Amino acid sequence: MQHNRAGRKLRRTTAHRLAMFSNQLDSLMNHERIQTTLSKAKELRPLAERLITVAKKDGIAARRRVARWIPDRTTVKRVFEAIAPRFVDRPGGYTRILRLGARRGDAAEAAILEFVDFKFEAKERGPKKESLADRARRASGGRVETVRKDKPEGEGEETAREAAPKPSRKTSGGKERTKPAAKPAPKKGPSRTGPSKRGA
Amino acid sequence: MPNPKRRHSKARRDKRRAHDALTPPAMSECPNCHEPKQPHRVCPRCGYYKGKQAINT
Repeated sequence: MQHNRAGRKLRRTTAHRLAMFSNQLDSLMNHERIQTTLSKAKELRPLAERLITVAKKDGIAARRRVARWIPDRTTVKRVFEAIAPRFVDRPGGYTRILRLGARRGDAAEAAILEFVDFKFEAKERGPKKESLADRARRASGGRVETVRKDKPEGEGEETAREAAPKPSRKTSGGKERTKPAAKPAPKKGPSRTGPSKRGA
Repeated sequence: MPNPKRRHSKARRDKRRAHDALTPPAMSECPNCHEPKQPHRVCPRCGYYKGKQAINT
């Protein structure tokens, strides 16, 4: 039975978790949309919505309650003056979570948390920036092979090799290592899965 | 120390793994670009979700 165990710990200590939520709320209020993981988005959503609900009724008490989560004053101001008024007629449900699929790197489900009235504007893609390899190709007018930077040769290398000899095996390794290759095991018929030779 | 008495055969190993197979993720067709995408997620190719563009691709 899983009772009285609401919420995710997100593998953080309480202070770390709360600080992270605080940062994320600040980002959300400033940018209207944040990308994070699905788990964090799900945890953050009720916090964000509660802040908006509180901010619908302006006043010194409400400002302080919001400021508990959002340490930045200008952001608090923005919550009250730019965000909350947009939602006066909406009884909750100010945000939405979009799933983006597994993230490359750690395969975590990525998600976007945004206000429901967020208007997405597609970015115009500029022409592709010329990479260094492109420039070399254009300059030489053909295929360019990758050239490795030469290492400085001479004394430096040799002394470096001598300075770091491998630790002697004889002192640290076990006695097995000095023995010649293991004695050939006598092959006994079909018993590859037969009785073990280890301490019977 | 207790030790295994016998080596496990390939058959036993493979039988153990009989239930370990992974299933491919469910896929649906993006109504915008008709590429396969995972259901209930923003299309990774065209960035559309529920008839609107949601992300830059």
